This record gives sequence, structure tokens and C-alpha cells, in this order.
Amino acid sequence: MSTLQLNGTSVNVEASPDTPLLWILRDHLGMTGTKFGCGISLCGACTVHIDGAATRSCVTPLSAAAGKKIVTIEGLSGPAGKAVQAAWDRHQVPQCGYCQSGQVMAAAALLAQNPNPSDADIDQAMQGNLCRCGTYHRIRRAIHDAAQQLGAAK
Amino acid sequence: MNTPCNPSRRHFLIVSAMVGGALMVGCKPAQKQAAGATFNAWVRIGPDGSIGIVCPRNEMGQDVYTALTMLVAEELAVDPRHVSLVHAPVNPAIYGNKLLGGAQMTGGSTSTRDAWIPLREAGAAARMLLVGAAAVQWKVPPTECRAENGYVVHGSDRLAYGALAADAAKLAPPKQVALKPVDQFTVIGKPLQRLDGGDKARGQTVFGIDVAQPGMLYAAVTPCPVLGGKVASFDGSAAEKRAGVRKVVNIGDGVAVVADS
Repeated sequence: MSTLQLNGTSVNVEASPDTPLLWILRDHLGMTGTKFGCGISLCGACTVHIDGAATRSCVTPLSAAAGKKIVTIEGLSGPAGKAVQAAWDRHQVPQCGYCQSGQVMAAAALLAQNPNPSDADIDQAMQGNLCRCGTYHRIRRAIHDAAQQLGAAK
Repeated sequence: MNTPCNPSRRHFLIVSAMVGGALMVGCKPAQKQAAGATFNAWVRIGPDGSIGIVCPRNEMGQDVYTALTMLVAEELAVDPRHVSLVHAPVNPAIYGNKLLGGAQMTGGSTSTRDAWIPLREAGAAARMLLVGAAAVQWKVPPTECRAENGYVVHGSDRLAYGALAADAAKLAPPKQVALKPVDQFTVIGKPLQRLDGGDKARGQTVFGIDVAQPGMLYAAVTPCPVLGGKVASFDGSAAEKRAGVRKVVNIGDGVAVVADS
């Protein structure tokens, strides 16, 4: 049995230690906000925070996640997360929405580490999160907006 | 009493009361073979004033949820942001897309055009019934009443839709549904934030992959690499020994691995 520190609570999971965290979340715990896209860390739909860093849950085995602080889209909070979601609303970022949990998690991790990212910083941090609807321009605008709101709140 | 709702599909507008005093307005197919479909609603108004619509098309980023909600909200005289939406069940007799041969399909930029009359008629019929119920209560002609932002209004009197839903559900459907003239539109054609964007930014939207059914299994398919090719032979025995794998199945033009997850 493994114990996860998930969204602020301790969760016990009975699964093989090589099970990807994505499937622990989706299948074992029924938390479907985190999405399966490619399963090989190429698309970013499965992005969660592990100890604050944007991490691909589809290639993170349970054994590597156990004991660390995991945050999923369901548990996203804190100033950066809230600012990102509010900016996503203002800029109407999602279209089909399938990649957006991962986009929001990646953006929130970026702003937590870099409160005033440049376009280049955003492109660098977000380049692994694919969006087939092509919402990239809105994502970039929303991240800048969220950064401004965070700066103004200080 | 039945009134033609969508003559091209031989549907009839029907009204029904729900347990707890909700008003349901929908269409019922007239054909005998579809009679088992019983009742399928487009619009539901709860005694608490909640307003729900059934969406017959898939949302895939084209904003059909928002657009079809606007059609109903326009005729029902409510704020589209206060309307909730549920997926239609599978029932092409009711929810088929006549622009795509009657199949219950989403595509080809047909969703709004196909729903343009039926959903507006459902909203307008619900509005007329609510006005009718208020008029009975006030003992005034319905023509002196109007629907406005979730209320029926007569002079200084007003009644909320929720308070009228149970009475409205007992009335006969209107013989003629009066749709709003285009120049009176206040919702259609006006900018509106997409209604489901907030859920999508919070991981709350349910996609097909998120639906779980009791006892459901998952299959991964390897198709033949050549178009039109057929399976000559395969050996699934090793795969079937893997934990969670139930069966490896020949599906003709490929092989499917059926497993627990």
C-alpha cells in the first residue's frame, strides 16, 4: 500500500508501484479532472503539481509520487491557481476544454515560480502543453493578465 | 391535446407535469414505431425556478451548449446564464439531426440550424404555458400578461416561473406557438461568454473518457496497418496472462485487447 499526500489530504492506495499516477487518480480515486492524452509525456493533458513543479502524471509511477505533495486540478488553490482560473474565465480560454486542466496546472506552476513571465518564459514553460483547438494566444494573454492581477494584489 | 411541433419530423408538442411540480415541454414522435420513446423533454422548469434544457448535440469547443441554450432562453425570456443543460439520451427519433439524415449526430455546422425552430418552439411553448397559468390565477386575459426575465408580469403583479410551473403543466399545449420576431431578440445575436468555460478551466467538465459504467471494461485496438486488410492470425495468449487483461479479440480488421482499465 502507498500513501499519497493529495490535495492536502493523506490518501492510501492499493496498486502496483509502477502504476502511473494518472491512472491512480482517474481509475483508483475517480478524480477525472486530470486527463489522459498521449500516455507518453508528449501532450501535457495529465499535468499535476508534484512538490510545486508541473509534472506529467502519465509517466510518473506511484512509487515516485508517494510521500510527495501532489496537487491536481481538483485541489488547485493558492493565489497563482486562483488568478489563472479567473484569467481563464475573463479571456474565455477553453474551447473543447480537454487539454485545459493541464494548461491551467502548467500556468499556475509557472506563475508560482515566475510572477512576471515574458512571452518567451511563457512559451518555454507551456510548450509541452498541446491544444488542438489552438487556444495558445488566449493562454498567453490570460497568463499575462493573471500575472498582472497577482502583482496588483501584492 | 397535441399540436404539431416539428411537422417535418412528425413530432407533437407535449406538456407534462413532473413529480414535485415541474413543468416539462417537449416533443413526442407521432410514428407508431417510436411510441416506446414515451416522453422526451427539451425544457424543464422546476418549482424552485430552475430551468434545464436537453442538448441533443455534442459540445466539442464549437459552443453548441451556449448557442442552443440561447435559443431556448430567448423564447422563454430568461437569462441564458441561469439555464442548466443535460445531454440528450440516445434517441434519434426525437433528437436526430434532420440535416444529417436523421441520425443523432453532431457535425457539418448543422447543430444550430437544426435546432433553430424546435428549441425555440419548446421555449416559446413553455413561456405561453407559464403566461397562461398566471392569467388563470389573476383572472385576466393572457394577452395582457408578458414574460420577463423569469417572471410573468401583469401591471404591478408578477409571478416567478417556478411558482407557476405546476399549474402550467396542467394546461393543454398551445395550438399555435408564437415565436419572437427577430427584431425583438435580446439574447440571440448578442455576445455572451461561453457557458461551460468555467467548468473546463476547473476540470469539472465530463468528457466521454470520464464516464464510468458499472462493470465497464476498456479496449485498446490495433488496426491492420493496411487499409482494408484482415487479421490472418494472432496469438493473444501472452497478453491474456497480463494482470487486468480479460481477452484479446479478433475484430476482423484488427485486434482488440479488452481489459479492466
